[in-house]
Amino acid sequence: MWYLLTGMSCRSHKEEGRELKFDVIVCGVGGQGVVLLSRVIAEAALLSGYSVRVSERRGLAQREGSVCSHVRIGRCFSPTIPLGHADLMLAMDMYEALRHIGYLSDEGKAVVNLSAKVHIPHHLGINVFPDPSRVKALLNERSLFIDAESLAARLGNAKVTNIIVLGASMRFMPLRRKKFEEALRIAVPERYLDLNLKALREGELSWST
Amino acid sequence: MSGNEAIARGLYESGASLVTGYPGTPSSEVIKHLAEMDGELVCWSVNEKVAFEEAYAAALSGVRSACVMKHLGTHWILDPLAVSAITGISGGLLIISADDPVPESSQSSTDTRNHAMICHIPAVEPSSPSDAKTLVKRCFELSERFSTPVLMRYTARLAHMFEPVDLGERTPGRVANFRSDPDRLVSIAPNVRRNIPELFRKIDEIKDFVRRPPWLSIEEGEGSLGVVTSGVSYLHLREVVEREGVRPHVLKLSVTYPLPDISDFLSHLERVVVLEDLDPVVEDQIYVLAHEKGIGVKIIGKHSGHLRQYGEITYEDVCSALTGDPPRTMGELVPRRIPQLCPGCPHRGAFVAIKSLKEAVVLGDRGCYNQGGNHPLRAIDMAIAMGSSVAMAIGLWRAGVNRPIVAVIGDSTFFHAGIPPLVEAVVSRAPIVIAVLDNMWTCMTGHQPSPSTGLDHMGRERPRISIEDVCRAVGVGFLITVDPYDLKEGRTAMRIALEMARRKSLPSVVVFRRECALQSVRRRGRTGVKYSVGGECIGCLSCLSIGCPAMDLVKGKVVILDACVGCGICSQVCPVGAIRRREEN
Ligand code: SF4
Ligand code: SF4
Repeated sequence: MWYLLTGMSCRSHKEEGRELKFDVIVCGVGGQGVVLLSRVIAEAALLSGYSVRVSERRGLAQREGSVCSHVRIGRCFSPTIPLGHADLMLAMDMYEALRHIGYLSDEGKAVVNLSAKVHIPHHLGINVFPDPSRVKALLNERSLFIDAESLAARLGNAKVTNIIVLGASMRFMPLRRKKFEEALRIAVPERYLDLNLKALREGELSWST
Repeated sequence: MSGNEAIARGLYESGASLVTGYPGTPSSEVIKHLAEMDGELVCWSVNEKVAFEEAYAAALSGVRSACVMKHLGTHWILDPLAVSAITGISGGLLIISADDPVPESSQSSTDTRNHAMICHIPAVEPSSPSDAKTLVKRCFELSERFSTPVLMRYTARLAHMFEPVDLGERTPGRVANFRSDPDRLVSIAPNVRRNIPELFRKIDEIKDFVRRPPWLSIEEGEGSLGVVTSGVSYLHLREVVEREGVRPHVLKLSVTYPLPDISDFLSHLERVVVLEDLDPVVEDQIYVLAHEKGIGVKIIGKHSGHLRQYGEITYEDVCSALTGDPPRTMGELVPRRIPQLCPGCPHRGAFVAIKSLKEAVVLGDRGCYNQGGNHPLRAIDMAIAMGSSVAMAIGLWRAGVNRPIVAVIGDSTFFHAGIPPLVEAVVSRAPIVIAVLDNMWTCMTGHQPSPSTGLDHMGRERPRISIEDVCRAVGVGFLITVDPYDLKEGRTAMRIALEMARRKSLPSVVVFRRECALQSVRRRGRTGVKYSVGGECIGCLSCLSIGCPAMDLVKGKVVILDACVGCGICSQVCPVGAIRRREEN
């Protein structure tokens, strides 16, 4: 039922004459599906009748770099989210969550995949990353953690980890689940659609288990 | 739609008949998207100068044309660009250049608008994808009205920013019709002397023409503070106005050179903030205008120290310039991720072989292979610009550097700018080793075809140029081709190449050839071969030092992940043979 409620609450936003403004930061490491995630969210927002602006920083995505997308739903001008103004963060990796935490507003929530991916030089003592438990502690206050990788493994395909994180984040977004499903239909190839819809559901239910 | 796609759409709808380019992040996707709309309109050229000249010739024959590149590419086209401004054109000609202010993927962050000023052609700047699409069409009209090439400068931010954009119909392309006009087109000094005054008359006329909408727009505010803005900083400004409750008068420019006479706007202000990415191009022109017209407005910008002369203008910078508060910044809580060569990248094998030459100075060039300079592989000592490796290797030798000198260059870069220094190396008798890393694609920018691919942008066959044939024709002293997956072969080749270069006093060339691992998997699927670490492992971590992202260290043990594509390079560096091949179905 929660999606109906959020759906209603954003309708009432409009009735008060205020336009919706909702800023989402999506981040992770190259290859974790950040770009797809941000496009699905943008598509879902468009399907819900909002204007959307997305800005990607792909850097060297193909080559293990950090990737970050700004998805701005509703009334906005800047392509990037001003620091301290994001309403929600979807992080595919704890280190990337911490790297981009400055974008989150004081009330903003982060949904963080429990992965802590270091790069090779770390193992050889170069650009050493902090201990994951310390990172988790730093993020703790504003974050909800999810072991999306294990959930994806249970569905038999690690590739849908990102969609599980999306499923887990839906409740914080002013968009209905239906719209995310429609967006997936547009964004992923036919033969993977069922798997992705399952992953969305799995993520959504993850809080109750 | 991204900024790049919107520009492609603008070109398509404007009836452009030829759009050329050389790939370079962040501009590469323009041609990719346009090829999806109509593959016959586009062409990846061997380098930017050739791309510009192809487009220029098309414009001289009456059709609309454009060339697309990143800011670095525009450095290569200045010579013919300056001439094109003098000769003028018949069909519209746009030079579309993506600047990289941060820079995120470039060796410098120059501001392309300077080239427009040097050549006396207009510089136009869009601020959003939809603005970009509309401006492309207007630029063609401007170009044809004044018979001048037009430079459209945008930034990485706009290139990779997405928003809904309205689509229109394509205006049909024109039929080429070249009319001879030697007095104008043969650029010998007497002709040029006669035609140059025209150029300055034109730029004055353009200045006057762009004084009104749609080339500029004014939004009335309150008080005595004004802002002159262009590009993406306009969007940041709108957001600051909305969030911070400031109400400046705003003048948005689409043409940033030549600056139209905006003295009416300036004369009512006490202070004016000038927002633009990179150099103070507009700001400088405002200083001149204010001085000429005796306007006493205080100019807040890069010269006053309120804004940086480098880097991208962010929301926070704009906010700070308007409110006077220091800009909010984000601390670095996590170290930077160091990019690596991909799993199975053939360059990895080439670098391990090159590193086996003791004491060698290794010069990189521009391409994926520069990741080989990162930790932990750390295989190159310098990397400057397209084609620089070979030329600078000669320079080191001429200067008397008494170490083995190796120039590393990729296939696309070899054809782009590597052949003239190769000729130079032979005629100078430079005893250097040139390692050509031929992975058959222009990979760094998204796998465009290179002359060594044998396919065009539509996947159709075209002549494949053999790097070996070029080297033979130029007359190198020693030439050998090896498989970078075979470290022993590579190491031997490098050793012999160095010996031969010294013995013959001529450059040696070692071609490391194997298709890019990503492309190979994309085109032919995985081979089913993988490697795994066996119980003999002594934990020396030698294998990690080649920086393959398909390896990880879990609880002190090296493990090979699913991303392994089975190149076997790690197994060849393991001193105890602990890494073994296995077949998977
Ligand atoms: S064989 Fe070794 S070096 Fe090659 S991709 Fe697999 S793990 Fe990486
Ligand atoms: S190089 Fe061989 S022995 Fe050394 S850590 Fe790697 S697998 Fe183990």
